[in-house]
Amino acid sequence: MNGIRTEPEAVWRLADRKASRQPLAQNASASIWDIGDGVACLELQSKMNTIDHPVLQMMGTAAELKSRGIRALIVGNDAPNFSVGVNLAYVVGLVEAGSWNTLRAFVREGQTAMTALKFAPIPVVSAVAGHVLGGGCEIALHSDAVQAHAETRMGLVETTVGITPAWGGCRELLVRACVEQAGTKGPTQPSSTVFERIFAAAMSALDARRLGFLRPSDGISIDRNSLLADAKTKALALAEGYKPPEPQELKLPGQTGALALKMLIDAGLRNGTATAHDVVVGTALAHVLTGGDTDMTRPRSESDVLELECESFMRLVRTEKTLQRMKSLLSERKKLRN
Amino acid sequence: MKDVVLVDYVRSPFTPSRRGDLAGVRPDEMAAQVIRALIGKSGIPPNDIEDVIVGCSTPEAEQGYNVARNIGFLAGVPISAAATTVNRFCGSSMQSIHMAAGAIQMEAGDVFICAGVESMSRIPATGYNFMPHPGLADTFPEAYIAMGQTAENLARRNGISRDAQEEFAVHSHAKADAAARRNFFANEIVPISVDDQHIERDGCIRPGTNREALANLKPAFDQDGSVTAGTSSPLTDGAAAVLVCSQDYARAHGLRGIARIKSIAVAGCAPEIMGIGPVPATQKALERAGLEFGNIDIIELNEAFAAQAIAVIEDAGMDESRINLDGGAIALGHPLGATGARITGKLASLLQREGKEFGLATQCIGGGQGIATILQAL
Repeated sequence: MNGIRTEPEAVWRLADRKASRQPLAQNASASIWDIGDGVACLELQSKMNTIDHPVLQMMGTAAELKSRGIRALIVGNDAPNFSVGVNLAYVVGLVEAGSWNTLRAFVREGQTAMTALKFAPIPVVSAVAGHVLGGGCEIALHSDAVQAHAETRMGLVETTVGITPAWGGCRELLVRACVEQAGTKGPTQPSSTVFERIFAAAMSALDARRLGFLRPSDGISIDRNSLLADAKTKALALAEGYKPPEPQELKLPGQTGALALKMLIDAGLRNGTATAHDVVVGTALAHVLTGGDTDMTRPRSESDVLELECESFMRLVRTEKTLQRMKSLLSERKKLRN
Repeated sequence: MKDVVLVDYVRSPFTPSRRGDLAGVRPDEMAAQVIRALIGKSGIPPNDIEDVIVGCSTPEAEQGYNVARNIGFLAGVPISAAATTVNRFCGSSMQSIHMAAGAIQMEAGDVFICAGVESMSRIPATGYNFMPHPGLADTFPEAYIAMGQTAENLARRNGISRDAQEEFAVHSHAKADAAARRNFFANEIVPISVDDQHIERDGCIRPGTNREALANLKPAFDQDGSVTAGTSSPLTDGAAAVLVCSQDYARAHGLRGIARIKSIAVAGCAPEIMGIGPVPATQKALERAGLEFGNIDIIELNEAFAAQAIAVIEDAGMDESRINLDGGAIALGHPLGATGARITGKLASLLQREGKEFGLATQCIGGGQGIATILQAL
């Protein structure tokens, strides 16, 4: 803090920082920039910042920057939207071609990239604004901290296109719920809490905090122009003595919890608030969130939950109604209720 | 065998869950204030209390940990009195009265506090950890059928129209509103005081409820069905308590008593039409009392749902003009664990007020059961 600042630290945009510099790494969909003080910024640059294969590759690269003298990472950009999630057109193309092995590998690649961010040896702070949906939300959930612009719409909206979160979104919300509710509310509560959260979407940063997409310790910036600076300050604070998180064992209820959630879904079908395909998707989600074939005495590992996420996703994308939902969103920008 | 008498009855106000005045009140505190008032009103020496029996439909969290014992402590019941929590879902606190009656006739005590409580604001009806048995759900899904669906089943089974249900609900509200205006609840309601709050009025009754308004409601449980929120009892917070004594004790202590328990019964029925449970339970209770329906002057039939109550009235051949004179649960509310004590206590006080001899209190129970109590005025 000595000397006179030529540029106010509290207000800058990524464009200012990268104007005179070469990226540390770059591909067709993302770049990594050195933004000073040993902090790097991973910038998604695809259309609407959708997440595709090159983005996932760059996430993996970003998680390994410590050897290049980087001590903290920000994921952020100057664009109106942080990320609207997976490149759905790519997924639909694979589904229509029946390229199941490629699709499965894509899911696994996403899980690996998210996991690399989560357990990176440097702290990761997501600076989010605008739409933070699906895979974009999963990036934020896997970060050590989030700095959110007040006008942030955040959620795991996968169920609206007939799939369940498969890049660790279920895992991360479960880990949080299990920690929040440890020993207080029994084995079914974390699963039902996350079930409700996944069917909700936050319309603001405060809403995201209420719904658990943001932790109480995550920051909110009123000024969009100070978002990256605020995130950098947070990242530098975390960098001091940083230790990556330890994987958690999750005590989940198994079949009995899934059945309890299924009864709620079925009630929705009867009273007209859910469709037949909502029941299929909700039942698959319930299976993931309750730990699959387990029991409260047999905790599941985080990687067990990733496996369940992948299997649920692969089952659902093979259904006709899920494909209809995805295509409707792509072609008509409309959520299809089928 | 000793005769068993109901000596006194009180209850808290009943208020709608989450938005009512009792939503912020712990159920153990609520029930303790009701019991403290019951003891004070009756004038019994607290040291004579044998047991505090509290019905509760979801005995966990603030209603857990043998809540009856802690309610006893909070109410200032002497430590020498025992306490137990009873769960027979909606029939829980009527069951507490039956247990006291059995104990008295076994010479196992003379003075019992029989109470019930439910905070549906603070503890969800299925509990915080609903964990159904997957095998049972597979082979016998009816075991876990939603209560609203059972009402739809009875509506279909008995051909009960939506209009008929709405007429029943309107009538229930009108009776309750009239009773409230005539101050008929004044003797039974105990104000609940917490911090600077003083809650003394029922909150579920909707004066002026009419069929036009009810007709606009969407079906609550089945989009093709006929049961709405307006024809169902509301989720409710509340507590109720009855003092049950041997008649010998009551006489010896100058307690007037308001009614004698003539007979009691429970019965099972198919879970998917659990609402019909009062019919077999009542048949047993009538037989045990040596009575017929024609002898029953007043009936307190719990209104879990209008369709359910109408089905019971039809199947049992009850005279509707004798039922729920001051309104039923559709208007007053249905705090599950507390309802049995409310309707039994209410029945006793109605027999006294109306100068009638025999009364029946009966209710249906989730899982497929009915429970019934026949009282005779003293």
